[in-house]
Amino acid sequence: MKTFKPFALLILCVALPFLASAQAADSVLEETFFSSGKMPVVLSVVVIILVGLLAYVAVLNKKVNKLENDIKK
Amino acid sequence: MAFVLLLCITMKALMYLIKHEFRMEFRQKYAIASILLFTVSTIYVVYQAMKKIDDSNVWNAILWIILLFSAFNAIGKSFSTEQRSLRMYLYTTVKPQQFVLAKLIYNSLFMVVLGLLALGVFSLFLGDGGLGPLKLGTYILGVVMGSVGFACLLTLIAGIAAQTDSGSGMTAVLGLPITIPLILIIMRFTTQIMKGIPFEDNVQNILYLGVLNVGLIGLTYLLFPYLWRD
Amino acid sequence: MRHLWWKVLCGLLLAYVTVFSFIVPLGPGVIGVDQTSLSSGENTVIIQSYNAHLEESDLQVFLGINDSTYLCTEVLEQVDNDKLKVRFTLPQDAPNTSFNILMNNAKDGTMFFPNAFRYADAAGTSGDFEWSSCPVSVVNQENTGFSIPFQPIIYETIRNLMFHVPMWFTMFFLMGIALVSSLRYLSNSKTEHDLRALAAVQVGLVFCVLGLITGSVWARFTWGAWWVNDPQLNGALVTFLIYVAYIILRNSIEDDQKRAKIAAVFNIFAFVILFVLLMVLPRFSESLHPGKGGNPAFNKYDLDNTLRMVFYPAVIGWILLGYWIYQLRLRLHRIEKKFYYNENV
Repeated sequence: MKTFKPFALLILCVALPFLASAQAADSVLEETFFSSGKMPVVLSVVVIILVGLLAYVAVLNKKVNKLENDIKK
Repeated sequence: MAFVLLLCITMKALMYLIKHEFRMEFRQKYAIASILLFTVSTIYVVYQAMKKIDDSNVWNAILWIILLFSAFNAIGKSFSTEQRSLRMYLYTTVKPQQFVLAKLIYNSLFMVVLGLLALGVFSLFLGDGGLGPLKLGTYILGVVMGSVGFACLLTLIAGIAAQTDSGSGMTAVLGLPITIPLILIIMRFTTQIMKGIPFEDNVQNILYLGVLNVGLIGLTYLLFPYLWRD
Repeated sequence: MRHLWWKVLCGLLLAYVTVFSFIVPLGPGVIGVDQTSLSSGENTVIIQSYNAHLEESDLQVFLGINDSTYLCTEVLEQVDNDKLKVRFTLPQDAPNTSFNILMNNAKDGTMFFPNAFRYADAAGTSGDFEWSSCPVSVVNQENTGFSIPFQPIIYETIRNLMFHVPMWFTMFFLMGIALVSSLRYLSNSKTEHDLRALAAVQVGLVFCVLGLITGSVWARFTWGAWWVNDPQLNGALVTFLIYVAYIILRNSIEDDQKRAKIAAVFNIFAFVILFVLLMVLPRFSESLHPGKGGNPAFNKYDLDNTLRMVFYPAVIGWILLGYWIYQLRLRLHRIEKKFYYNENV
C-alpha cells in the first residue's frame, strides 16, 4: 500500500490531461470554462490550491497521529 | 617562490594521479570495451530502426540522445570500479581536490574520445544528416564541448551515486534532470549549425557552455571533499 | 503571543487577497467581432465587449489604421448588454491593411482591440493611400473606475496572478531556505540544519506541484494546451524532478550522517544548475509568459496600481503560509528524531 499510493498518484497526474483532452469532453470543457470571461478557470485554480494544501495538512495530521500513538506505547 | 614550489608539487601529484587514473582504467580493458560496445551497438540499433536519416533535426537529436546515454554509461561507472583497499590508500595519500581534478580530466578526455568516435560511427551508418564537410569543424567543436560538459556534470553525480546503497544506478535518477540545461544549450548550438547559421551568430552558445563547464568544475572542486571522507 | 503576529498577518493578508481579487471588477474591454474580413463600401459589424458601459451617450467607436489615422464609424444600436452594432464605409481603392478597434467613453476610458479586421477586396496599392481620417479628440483616455486591467484572451484569469504566481515565489523561498541550510550543514554538521533542508524541500515540492497543476489549467484555457514548450515550464518541471531526485537520494542512504552530508552536496550542486536554467536560459529564448520574449500581456500593466495593491500582499501572504507549513513539518521532524533516535536537535 505504501508504495502503491505515489504510483497511483503519478499515473493519475499523467492520465488526467489525456482523459480531459479527449475529443468528446473538449467542447464541454471549453463551454464551461470560457463562460463569463473565463471566471471558472480562476475558481478551479483557487480550489486546486486549497485542496492541495488541505491534503498536505491531512498528511501532516496522519504523521502526528502515528507519532502520538508511538509515544503512548 | 614557495608558492611556485607548492604549485609544482601539486601539478606533479596531479599528473601522477591522471597517469594512475589511465593505468587503472586501461588495466580493466573489459570496462572500456563494454562502454564502447554499448555506444556502438546503440548506434547499430538505431541504424536498424531508421536505416538512413535525412532530416537534420532528427539526426542531431538522435546523436545527442546516444551521446547522453553513453555518457551516463561511461561516467556512472567511474567511482564504482575502484577497489576498496586502493581507495583507503588514496584517502591517506592525496588531497580529494587533486583526486577529483584527475578524475575530471580523465573523464573529459575519455568522453571527448567517445563522443568523436560516436559521431564517426553514427555518420558511417546513418549518413551525415546534411552536415557536410564545411560545417563539420564547428560540429566537432560542439561535440567536444558537449562531451566535456557531460563529464564535468556527471563526475560529481557519479561520486554521489557511488555513496548510496543502490550504487551506480542512482546516476541516471540524479543526473538526468540536471543535464537538461546542458542539453538545451548544446541542442541550440548544434541545430543552429545544421541550419547553416554563421559561427559568429552562434558563438555565444558555445561561450555559455564554456562558462557553465568552468562553473561546474569549480563546484565539483569545492564540493567533492565533503563526499570523500566519511 | 510573541510568535503569533506573523501568522495572524499571513491570515489577514490571504483573506484580503482572496476577497479583493474576487471583488474588484475586471476593467472594460473588447472581446471580439462577428466577422473578421471587410469589403469595400458599407459594412455593418457587431462588436462584443466585456464589462463596458455601452449605454453611455458619449460612446465613440473608431477604426484605427495606424497611430495617427482613424476612420469614423456610426454607432447604430446596442444589441444587448455587451453587443454593439456599428456601421462604416470603406473606400474602394484602399490598400491591404488591418484595422484596430478603439472604443471610447468617459467612464470606461479607451478600449483597444488590435487587428480586428482585414480588408478583403483590397486593391493592393502602395501604402501612401490618403485615408479620409476622422478628427479624434480623445484617444488613450484613462479608465476612471476601480478595476483590474483587461487583457485580451486572458480576461478574468488575470486574477490567477494572485494565486498561481505566488506558488513559485513560495517555492523559491523554501528552496532558498534549503540551500542555506545545506550550506550551513556542510560547515557545522548539525542535524538541525539537515532537518531544515529536508522540511523546506518537502514543503517546497508541495508548492511546486500546485504551481504546475494550476499553471497547466491556466495554460489550457489561455494558450489552448495543457503543456507547451516554454522555458518557464521546462524550468518548473526540471525543478520538480531535481527535488524529487533529492528525496529519492535521501531514501537510498541508510546511515544518517552520510545521508545528510551527501544530500547537502547534491542540494547545492542542483540549486546552482537550477539557477542557470531558470535565470539565465529564459533570457535568450522565446516565451509565452507575459513580459518575456516580446510578449504583450502584463508588461504594459506591470506597474498598474490596482494590481500591485493585491499582488504584493498576495506574494507575502503565500510565502508566510509556506513558511508556516515548513515550520510545522520541521517541528515534526525534530520530535521524530528525538523520539525514535533519542537525538536532541
